[in-house]
Amino acid sequence: MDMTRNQWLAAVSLIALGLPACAASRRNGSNLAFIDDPARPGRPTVLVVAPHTEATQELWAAFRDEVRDSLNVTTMTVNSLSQPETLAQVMRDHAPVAVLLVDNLAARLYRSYQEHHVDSQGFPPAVVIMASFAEQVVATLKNATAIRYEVPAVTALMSLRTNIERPVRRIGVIHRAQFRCVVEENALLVAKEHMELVPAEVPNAATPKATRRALHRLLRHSDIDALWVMNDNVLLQPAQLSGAWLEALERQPVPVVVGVAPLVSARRHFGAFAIVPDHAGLGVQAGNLLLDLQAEGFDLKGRKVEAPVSVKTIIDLPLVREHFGLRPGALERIDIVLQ
Amino acid sequence: MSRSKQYRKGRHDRAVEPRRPPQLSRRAFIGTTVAGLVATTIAQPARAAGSKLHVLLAVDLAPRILQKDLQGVLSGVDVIVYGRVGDFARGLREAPDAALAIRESLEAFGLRPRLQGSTNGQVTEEYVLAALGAPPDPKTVASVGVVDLFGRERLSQFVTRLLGASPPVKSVTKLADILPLLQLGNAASAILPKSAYEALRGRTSQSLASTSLQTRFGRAAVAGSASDVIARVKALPADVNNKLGIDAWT
Repeated sequence: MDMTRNQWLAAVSLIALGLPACAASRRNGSNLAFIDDPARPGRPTVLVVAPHTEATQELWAAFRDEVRDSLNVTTMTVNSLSQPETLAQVMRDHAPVAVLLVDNLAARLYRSYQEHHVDSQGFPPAVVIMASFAEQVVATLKNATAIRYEVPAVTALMSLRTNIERPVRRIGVIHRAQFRCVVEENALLVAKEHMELVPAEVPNAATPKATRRALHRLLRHSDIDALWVMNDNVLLQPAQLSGAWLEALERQPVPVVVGVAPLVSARRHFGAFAIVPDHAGLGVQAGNLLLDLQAEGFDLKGRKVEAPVSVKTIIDLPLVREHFGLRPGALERIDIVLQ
Repeated sequence: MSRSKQYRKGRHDRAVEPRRPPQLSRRAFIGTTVAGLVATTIAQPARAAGSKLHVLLAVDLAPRILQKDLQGVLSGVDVIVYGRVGDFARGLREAPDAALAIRESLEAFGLRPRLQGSTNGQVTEEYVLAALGAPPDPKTVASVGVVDLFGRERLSQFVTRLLGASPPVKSVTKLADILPLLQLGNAASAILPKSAYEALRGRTSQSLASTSLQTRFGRAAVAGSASDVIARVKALPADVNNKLGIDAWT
């Protein structure tokens, strides 16, 4: 059965607005628990604060495997009802040398804990992971760093270039004014791979009309080979998708790379590729970071927010085959093939 | 501005989280697309009561492809290709009938290889230290990335044996992670088989340089007690052997 445009938009909008899918999963999963190894004497303890979902379980298992030879891992499972007092009790009981905050929910709880314990003699270093806008979250915390959740453009576009036959040199990106710095930062890394990000800026309160104009400018006058879609919920609202993106792309298909899995569908073509974080890879990366911190005496000084290294690739195979061509052997490296 | 005000951004300032594929199967949209397709595209281990072969290799393939290829020619054998050493280690506790990995990886888990793969008669493979820019000096690199086939503690020993030095180690789960690791500055260099390095060089426009390492490591090998599984692996077709990085078994 084919999916109607409205069904697609409705489903995508739930994800794009970041609301029920995740929340339901958190509620359903809140009774489940991560099962820690017994603590081994003489080893420092790292506290993981995380909601229980399939994704966080995957990340947690990889993290635990990475650090278990050097650190005890104690996990506090949280949900939207978790209280800072509970976290404070866990902090007192385990005296962790570092804290891994998984998801915005855990970061919010930890921020609240820090606000309630301003007299505390310093907070252990915290690492935020799987959270949107990691830099902004880190700015609200004391003694914290992060691994971003958004996949850098260079990683996403390298994957595109490796997999399709069509040349990928100039890549359009529509962004709101407030994300200009993000685009500029990404453009520098992309340029090192001899590709060029071609930005089209829209106002912070962009209307579908403004987005449509920017898209037309890119598609008709900017000689672009592909589009990179940022994870910006305003530009991915249903009205934007139906009133700007889908309309423009139906007339002039170009390979679109997105960072959100539901935007790739073999039934309703939009993203040709989704390049999303690999949660096990994120767990390993967090483990590396914690082991580095241990070697440096758990001092965060001078440490910058990291980008995620490991990704998974999802492809809309019919779309790519029809319009852009697939390189030989490409399917052997792609994680999820929609057809 | 208070901290809470700084943090509580309006709806217009929130980014879309790249949602987790497994959750998507619960949505109507994904229910009709991703979930069904995942079932057909991610090879699931057959649950027959036959022999078990567990696999851990750093190859330039999605694990589902290698698993599908091996399962396709080893009918009746329950093949599981792992994407991460921690899962492989847990899988070994199930006492599979055979395990396929590089010799040093098998030995790290106390397994003795019974079958050794080779290419052009060579049972070991050259490894290189790669970096963006100039060829790196193994003794002085600031950090090194490497696919973990051993578990963290033994991985550090592997790196020390290869480099003759002990820089901070950034482990990754797959070869595809090596290039982003270097591009994003998470590691100053990376250890990988020379064959994988050549493939990597073809993908980047940046200058990727390498230094050959003196110590060679084994190619794919098989350990285990099940002679029937060992015999069938020995008779794998050439195209599957090629994906394992070998052309013969001895």
